[in-house]
Amino acid sequence: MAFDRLDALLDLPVYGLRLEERTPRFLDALREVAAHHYAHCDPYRRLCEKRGFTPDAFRTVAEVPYLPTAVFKDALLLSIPPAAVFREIRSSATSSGQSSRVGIDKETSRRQTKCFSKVVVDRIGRERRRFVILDSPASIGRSAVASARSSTIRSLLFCASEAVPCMGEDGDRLWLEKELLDTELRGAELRGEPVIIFGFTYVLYRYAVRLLLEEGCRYVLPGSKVLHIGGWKKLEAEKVSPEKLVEDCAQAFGVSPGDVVDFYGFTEQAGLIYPTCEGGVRHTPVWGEVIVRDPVSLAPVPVATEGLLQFITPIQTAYPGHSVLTDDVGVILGVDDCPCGRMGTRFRVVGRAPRAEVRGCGDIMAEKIG
Amino acid sequence: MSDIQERCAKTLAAITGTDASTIGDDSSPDNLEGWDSLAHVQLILALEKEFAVTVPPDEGVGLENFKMIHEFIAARLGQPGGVGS
Repeated sequence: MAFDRLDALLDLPVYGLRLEERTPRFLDALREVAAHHYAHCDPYRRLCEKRGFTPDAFRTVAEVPYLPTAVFKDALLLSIPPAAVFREIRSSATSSGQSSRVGIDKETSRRQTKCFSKVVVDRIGRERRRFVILDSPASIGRSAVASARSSTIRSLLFCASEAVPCMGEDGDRLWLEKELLDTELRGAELRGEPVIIFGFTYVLYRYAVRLLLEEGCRYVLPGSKVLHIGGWKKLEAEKVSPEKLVEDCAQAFGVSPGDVVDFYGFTEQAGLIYPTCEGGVRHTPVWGEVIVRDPVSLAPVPVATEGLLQFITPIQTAYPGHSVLTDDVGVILGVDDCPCGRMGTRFRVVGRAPRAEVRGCGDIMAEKIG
Repeated sequence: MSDIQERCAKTLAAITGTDASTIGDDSSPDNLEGWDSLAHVQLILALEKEFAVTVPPDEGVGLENFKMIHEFIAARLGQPGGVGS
């Protein structure tokens, strides 16, 4: 099936259009995709009918029915024939043992890769860099079943000139290969070569940044970037705020605080990723929108009010993941008004809703090894 | 096959562990065993070395089949058979 409006949307500049320019294009693509899900996914159609929603008649994104993330734990929803599923993506298992499942076809996979790479390149640049991976060599190796953790790392390697894992792992034990890391980073210092340092949030902090600071070890790597991804629960428990993480990373690696980048994303909308900008906030790309809802009434709340984050995007055509209500709490800060110059809805992720489970690759790793 | 196509096929074959003679314009990660995301990264880096060209990361990701790859390389080298040549 052709999705002409969606494909046209994905060719637009990621953060280049103002609200009035991007909204008509976004809604056109969303109508095209919502109609597809309505026609091909029975449970989604029943939900729409129950809510009196028809995909060709809505005028705002807030009208599009959302699916809570819990739905993806219960069932494998599809808007394509099951035989067309070529990969099933599972989130890290939560503390209850349940993970979200989404099935994707090749078309959705290609679109995810395209969207992901455009956002990553916008944030870290088009030049290939040496990747210093704060994880074990197994994380970039091949295995029959790719874990969410290795998939995440591998998905970033498209912009790497080389990848050097700098941690050791033996069962549940993980450690920093200090000499290897030192050789890598001192070498980069000498060459004046910016590198990319990547790790899962908790592991990066607990096993590298804190250790380096405790030992008085500092690097000077201007232009390098520190990328991290994963949950915050474990760091919150250790009283490490996002601000402290940025400050400590900047200090240990000698980078600008604006070059410490926190990636946020979730399995139910794989391919969409929201890095923090130089100012520490996130932006919706031209193919995404965010709404904040009151946790009790579930009605949309005004700008600057905290609530549950709902993300809307037309990029998933294999399953009705185009409007998902998460367990994450956040706040919209403004629209098209960030000093970094990126257009889009500017928002912050504050944390998890109180009853939400610990999850995310970083948190799962922390539970395993912490 | 042109010289560029042959060298591209040889590079792809070495990375995926397949026979270069089985590679054709329609070969893609969808139908060629071993051509996964990691192999794709290795392929792009190997092609950069083989042809002494630069493939920007986002353009490398968009090269979805063998035809797109050899046409991209030919265009980079300014040779006939490249996209837009």
